[in-house]
Amino acid sequence: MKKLFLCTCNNTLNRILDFPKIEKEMAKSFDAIETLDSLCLEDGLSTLRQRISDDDQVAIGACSSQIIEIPVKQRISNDFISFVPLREHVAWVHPADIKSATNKAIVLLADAAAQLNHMEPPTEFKENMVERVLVIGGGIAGLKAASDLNNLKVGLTLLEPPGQNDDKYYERSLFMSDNETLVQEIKALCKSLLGVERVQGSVQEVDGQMGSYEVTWIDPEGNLTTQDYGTIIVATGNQQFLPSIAKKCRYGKSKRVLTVESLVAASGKRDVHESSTILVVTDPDIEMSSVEGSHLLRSTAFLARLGNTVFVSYSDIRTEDENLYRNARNAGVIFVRGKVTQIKEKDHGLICRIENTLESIVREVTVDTIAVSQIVGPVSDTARLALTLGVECDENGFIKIRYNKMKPVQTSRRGIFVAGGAKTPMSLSHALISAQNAVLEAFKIVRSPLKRFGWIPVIDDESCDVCKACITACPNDALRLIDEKVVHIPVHCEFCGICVSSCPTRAIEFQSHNKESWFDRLETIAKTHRQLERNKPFTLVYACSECANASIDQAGFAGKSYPTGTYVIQFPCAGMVSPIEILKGLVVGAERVIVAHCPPGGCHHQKGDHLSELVVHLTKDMLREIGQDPDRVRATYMIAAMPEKMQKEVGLHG
Amino acid sequence: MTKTVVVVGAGLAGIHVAQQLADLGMRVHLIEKEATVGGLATHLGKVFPTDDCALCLDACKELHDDKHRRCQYRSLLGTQKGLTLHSLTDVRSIKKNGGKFSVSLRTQPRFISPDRCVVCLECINVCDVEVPDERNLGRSKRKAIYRPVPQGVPLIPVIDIESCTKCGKCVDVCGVDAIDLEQKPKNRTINADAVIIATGVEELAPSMLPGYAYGVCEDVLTQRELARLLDTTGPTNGSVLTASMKPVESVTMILCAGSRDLNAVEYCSQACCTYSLKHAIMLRNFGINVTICYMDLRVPLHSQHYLTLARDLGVRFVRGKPDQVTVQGDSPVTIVEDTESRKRIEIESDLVVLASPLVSLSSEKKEFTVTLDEYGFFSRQGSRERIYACGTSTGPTDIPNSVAEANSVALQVYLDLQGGA
Amino acid sequence: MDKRERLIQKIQNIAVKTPTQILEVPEKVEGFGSISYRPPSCSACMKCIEACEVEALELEPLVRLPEYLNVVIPEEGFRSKNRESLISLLQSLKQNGETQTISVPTGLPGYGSISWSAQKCIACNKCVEACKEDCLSLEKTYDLVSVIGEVEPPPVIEVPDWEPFIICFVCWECSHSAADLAGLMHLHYPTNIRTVRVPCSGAVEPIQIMTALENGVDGVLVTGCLLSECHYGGDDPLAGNFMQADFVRFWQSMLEEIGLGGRLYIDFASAAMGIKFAEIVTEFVEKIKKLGPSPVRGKLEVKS
Repeated sequence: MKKLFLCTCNNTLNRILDFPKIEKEMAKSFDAIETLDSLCLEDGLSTLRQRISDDDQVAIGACSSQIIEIPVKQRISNDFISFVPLREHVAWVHPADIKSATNKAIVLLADAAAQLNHMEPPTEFKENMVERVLVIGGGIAGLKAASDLNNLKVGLTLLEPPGQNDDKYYERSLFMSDNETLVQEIKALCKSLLGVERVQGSVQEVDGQMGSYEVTWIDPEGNLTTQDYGTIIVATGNQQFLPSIAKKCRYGKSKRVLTVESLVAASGKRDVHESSTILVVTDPDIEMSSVEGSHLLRSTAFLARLGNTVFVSYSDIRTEDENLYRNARNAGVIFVRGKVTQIKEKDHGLICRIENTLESIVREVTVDTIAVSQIVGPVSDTARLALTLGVECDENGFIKIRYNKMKPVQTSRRGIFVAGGAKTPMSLSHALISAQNAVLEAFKIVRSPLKRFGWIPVIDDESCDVCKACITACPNDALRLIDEKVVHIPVHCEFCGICVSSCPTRAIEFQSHNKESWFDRLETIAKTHRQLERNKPFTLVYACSECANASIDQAGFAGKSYPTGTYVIQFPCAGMVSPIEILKGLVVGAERVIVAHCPPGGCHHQKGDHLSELVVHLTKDMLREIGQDPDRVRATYMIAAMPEKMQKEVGLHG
Repeated sequence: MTKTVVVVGAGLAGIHVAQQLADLGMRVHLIEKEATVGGLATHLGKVFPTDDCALCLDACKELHDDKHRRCQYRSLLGTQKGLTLHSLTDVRSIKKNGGKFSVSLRTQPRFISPDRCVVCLECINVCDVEVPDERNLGRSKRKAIYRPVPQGVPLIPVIDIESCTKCGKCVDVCGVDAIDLEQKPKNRTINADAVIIATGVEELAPSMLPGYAYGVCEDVLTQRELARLLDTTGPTNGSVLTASMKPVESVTMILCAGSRDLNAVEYCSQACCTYSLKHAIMLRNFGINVTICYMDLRVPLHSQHYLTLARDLGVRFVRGKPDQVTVQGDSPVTIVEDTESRKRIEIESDLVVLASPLVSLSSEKKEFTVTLDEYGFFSRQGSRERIYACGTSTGPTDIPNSVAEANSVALQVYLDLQGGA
Repeated sequence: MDKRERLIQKIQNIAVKTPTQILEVPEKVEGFGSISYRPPSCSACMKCIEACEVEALELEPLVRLPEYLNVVIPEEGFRSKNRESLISLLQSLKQNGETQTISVPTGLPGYGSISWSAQKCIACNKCVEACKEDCLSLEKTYDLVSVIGEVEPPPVIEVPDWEPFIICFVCWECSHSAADLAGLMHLHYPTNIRTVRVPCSGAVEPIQIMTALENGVDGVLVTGCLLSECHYGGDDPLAGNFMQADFVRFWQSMLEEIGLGGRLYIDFASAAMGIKFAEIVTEFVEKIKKLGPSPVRGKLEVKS
C-alpha cells in the first residue's frame, strides 16, 4: 500500500499550506493519508511505526530529509520511503501566496508518489575483509604506522625498499627535524617494531579491491611473494634532489661546491673554531616548503655557530618556527635576498654574483665554499609504484589525496592510504601525525565487516558496447573490465551515478533512478503543475543531494523566498545528470532547467561538479543550434554557507 | 568496558576527534560553551584551501559509512551513537580521581527543551525584542530568542535572557510546550578516562595594539570581522560597506598586525596570510582595490594558488610593516615605509583590515592542570596524564592541520585507553 | 612505409590531372572501398578504431546534429536507448533554421564522431564487424578525389624522335608462350614492348603497374590466359585472370581520372594464339602513339 504522512510542524505549516486541499488531491495517488502535528517527536514517530507495515511504500511530507530521515529510519525499516521537504522548500520560502504554495506542495507530493513507483529494494552485499595491513615503507611515517598498527594488534607487513636499514631512515629524513629529535625518534620507533613482519622488496603487481588487495612483491634475491591485505598504507617518503641552480654554481665541477648536508656532515668534527666563508645557495625559482626552510635555517645556524661566515642567497624562506629565524640571525647568518647569477672560480675563492631584481641591487661576495640547498621531491620510484597501485599523483609527482581539507590520507583508490612525505614534504611531527591518520582509517576499515547496503548501478551486458567510458568516469575505481565485461565493484562504490551519465548507450542504470523514473517524474510534475497552475511558467532545479540540497534547505532557514513554480529534483550527484534529463525537462514544458552542484573542486564525488558543467555546456550548444534559447539551461554551484543562492538563481520574480 | 572521553570544545578539531572516538566505540561527551558548534569556523563563510563551506565536516561512520562529507547542518551532531553533545556548557573543573578524571560541567539554560522543540521557528517570529547581533559586529539585529548561526547545530533556538522581557509570547505560541523561561543552570559531573582539549583560538582584540586605531575608527576591522561582512548571512548580506553604510572602494590590509612582534605576540599565527589573501581575492572580484602591507607572505604549499590568483587579479603588495593607522576626516590612513622603494607612503582607503594574531582562548587556562607553553597553548601529548589537546589549542594553524591533528589524537587516545582491544 | 602507403604515394606521383569523380569499385576488387558512417546511433565506443589495423579511423570531438535531426527512428528503435531518447527529444524541441555540427567539451565522455581516411583504408571490413550499433557500412566506391587532391599539371615536354615505351606483363603459362610463338612465327609486331614474366596475370600487383608508370613508361599491357582457362584457377570466378580483369578496369578508371587514360590495357590469349598476341601488341602501340608520350615524363624532367 502507498501511504502518505504529512506533518504540520506544530500547526505552523497549515497556516500557509491548505492541508485539506492537499489531502484531497493526494487521495488519487495514495491509499492512505494521515496528518500529524509533530512527526519528529516521540508520539509522532510511534504513530508512524504503528501505521506502517514492512511492505508499504511511504511518502513523508514534513521538514527536510536532513532532519527527519534519521529518526524515521530508526523506527521503520521499509525500503521504499520518499521525503518531501514541505517546510524548507515550500512553506518557509513561499509565505505570501497560499494558493500557489499549496499547489507546489501537491506537485512535489505527486512527484514523490511517482518516485515510489520506481523504487527498488537496495542491494545488500558482503565482501571479504582480510585483517592485515600492508605498509609500504621507506620513510618515518612507515615506521610509525607499523608501530601503531602493531600496538593495535592488527596483522601487518612492513615492506621496505631493498637495502634499507635503520641508518637509511635517518639519511632520508634528516631535513625533517633537528638532529637529536630525529635520532631519538627513529631509535624509539625501531625498538617498538619487535615482532613486526619486516621484509624487503618492491611491489610488482596489485590486484583486487579494498578488503582483499592481492599484492605481489619481489625481494632482492628475485623471489616473488603474493599476499592478501585488507588495506594498504603507502609511506615511501621523499628524498632530496639537487635543484637546477646547482649546475650554475659549478656543482660537480668544482671541489669547493658541495651540498649543505655534506658540508654539515664534514663540519664540526673537530673541536676547532672554523672560519671559512660559505655561501648557501637556494633556488629562487622553486617554491620552498616550510620543511626545507626550517632545515636550511637549522643548518646555517649550525655552520655559523662553528665560527664560519655564512651568507644565504634566498627569495623566500618559510618556516613553522619563528625562533629558527631568530636563532640563525643571532648566530650571525647573513641573509641576502636575490638570485645567484654568476660564479667565477679563482685561486683564492669563488666570486659569486647575487642579483636582486626587485630592488635592483647586485652584490658580489667572495667565498671559500658554496653549499647548495637541496629540494625535496618524491622518491624516484613513486611514479611506478603509484601506477602499480592504481593511485593518482599530483603535478609534482607526489601521491595525490582526494580532498585537501578533510581527507588527509585518502588516495584516489579506496582502501589505499598515503602517509608522510610521500604526499608532500613534511616535518617530523607532521609525518607522525600523518601516519596516525592513515592508521586510524586503515584500522577502522579492517576492523569492521565489509557490508554495504544501497542502490547500485546495474549493467545490461546486451546494450553495453564496452566502450569503457563508465570505467574512466567513475571516481572510485568501482567499475572494472573483467573478462571483456564491465563489472561493478560494490565496496568501492559511492553511489554517485556518474557512470550513468557517462554511458553513451544507457547500458548502466542506477537502481531506482533509471531513465524511465526520471521521465515519469518529470511528466508527473509537469502534468500536475499544469492542472493546478495552468499556464504559469515553471523552473526545474536538478540539485545534487550534497551541497546543493543543503543550500536549498538553508534558503528555507534563512527565509530567502523565491517564486513558487520552482521544483527541486534531487540527484545523488550532479554528475549523474545527462543531456536527456535536461532536454526532457524542457520538452515537458519547463521554462528553465537549472543544474545545481557542489562548489568547484569541492564535489563530494570528486568530479561531478565539473562533469555537470560540461554536460550543460554541450546541452546549451545543442539548444542554440536547434533554435532554442540556450539560457533556458544553466549550471551553478550552491553551498550551505550561501543560503541566498537559490533566490539569486531562480530570481525573485521567476 | 566502554571508556568515556570528554572533549572540551566543539570546533572543527573537537568535532572530528569526538566523531572518530565515537566511531571507535567510545562514549564521548562533547562540550561546547556556545549555543551552537563550529567555533571560529562558523564566522568564516568560505575557507581555504578548498574555497568551500567552513561548516564542512568529515562524515562519521554511522551516517554514511565514512563516504560523504556532511556539513554541520547535515551532520545531526549529537544523534550519533555514543556521542552526546552538551551545548551552552562550560567546564568548571577537572580533577584527578584515581586513574580517571572528574569533569565538572555547568550547563547554562537554553530555555528551550531539545526533546520538545520541532524547530518551527514560530517563537522567533512572534518575539518583538530586537537587539544588536554581536556575531554580525553589532550592525544587524537579532531577536531575544534566536538561532545564532543559520546552519548551526543544535538547530534549536536559544534565549538571551538578559535581553528577554519575559513577555511570554513565545511560550504561548509554542504548541509543544518546549519553552521554559524559568529554566535554571544545571551542574553535572562526568567521570572520564581521558580529556581532550580542543578549545581553539580567538583573534586578539587589536585594541591591545593602540597604533592601529581599532576601536577608535569604526572602519578598522579584523580579518574575522571582514569575513562577517563578506559572508552572505552577515550584516550586509555579503556587500562590503563601511560602518556608515557607504560602498567600499578600497581596502588596505595589514598582515602580522601584532604577530611576530616582540611587543605583542611573538609567534607567527600561521593561517592569517592565507585567509587575508582569500579575502583580498573576494574583494577584487567585487572590483574593490586592495593593498596588502606585509613583511613576509607565509602561504603553505597547498594554498599557493591564492597568492598567484591575488597577484593576477591586481592586488597591490607593499613590503613594509605600517607603524600606524591614523584617521583623516572619516577615513583611516595607513602609514608605512615601503622597504623596496625606501619611501614612506600614506595609503588612504575606505577600510583597514588587520590580520590580528590568533591567541589561545584565555578563560580556559585556569581550569586545567596541564602545562601550557609560554604563549598559552597546550602541549600536544599528555599520554602519561591522559589529557590531550588538538586543533588550534596547541598553536594556531590551518584547517587541514587541525583536522589531521584531531584524527591523530583520536588514535592516540584509543591506543592508550583500549590498547590492542 | 607500408605497402598501401607506397602505392598511394606512387599514384600521387603519377597524377597529372586533378581527379573529379568518385570511382566505382568493381565487385571482385578487394582492399578498396569507402566507409559510410551513420552518426545517430554511434556511441563513440571506439570499437571500430580498436579493430582498424591501419589507423584509418579517428574519433573527433563533434556531435553531428544535422544528422541527428534528420534521422527517422525505426520502429524497433536504436540499440542505444540513450541516443534514441536524445534524438527524439532534440527533434521535439527543434525550431526552424539551420543546424551545424557542434564540438564536444573537452573531458566529456560518451560523445564523438568518427572520421575516416580514404587514403589509409584497406576496406578490410573489420570496423563494420566491430560496430555493435550498426553505424558503419562498406561501399564499393573509392574517393580518389580526396586521396589525390589538387594536381598541378606538369610541363608538356617535347620528346625528339619519340617511340612509345611499353611494359608488357605476360603470364608464365599461356601468354608468354603466345609471345614466344609470335616470335617463332616471325610475326612482326612493334619492338616497343619489354616483357615482364609473372606466374599468373593475376599476380600483377598494382604497385608494379604504378611503378612502371612512375618511371615514365608510356603504356602498360597485361596479358593472361583466356578467361575460364587460367592455369591456376580455371573457371573459378576468383581465378587470376578474372580478378585481374576487374582490377584493371578499376585502374583504368583511376588512370582516366588522373590524366593517364588509355595507357593500361588487359587482354587474353592462349598459348597457341601467337597471331592474337601480335595483334594485341600492335593495336596497343598504335593507341599509345596517338596518345603521345606519357605526361609523367614531364614530371621526371622537372625532377632531374
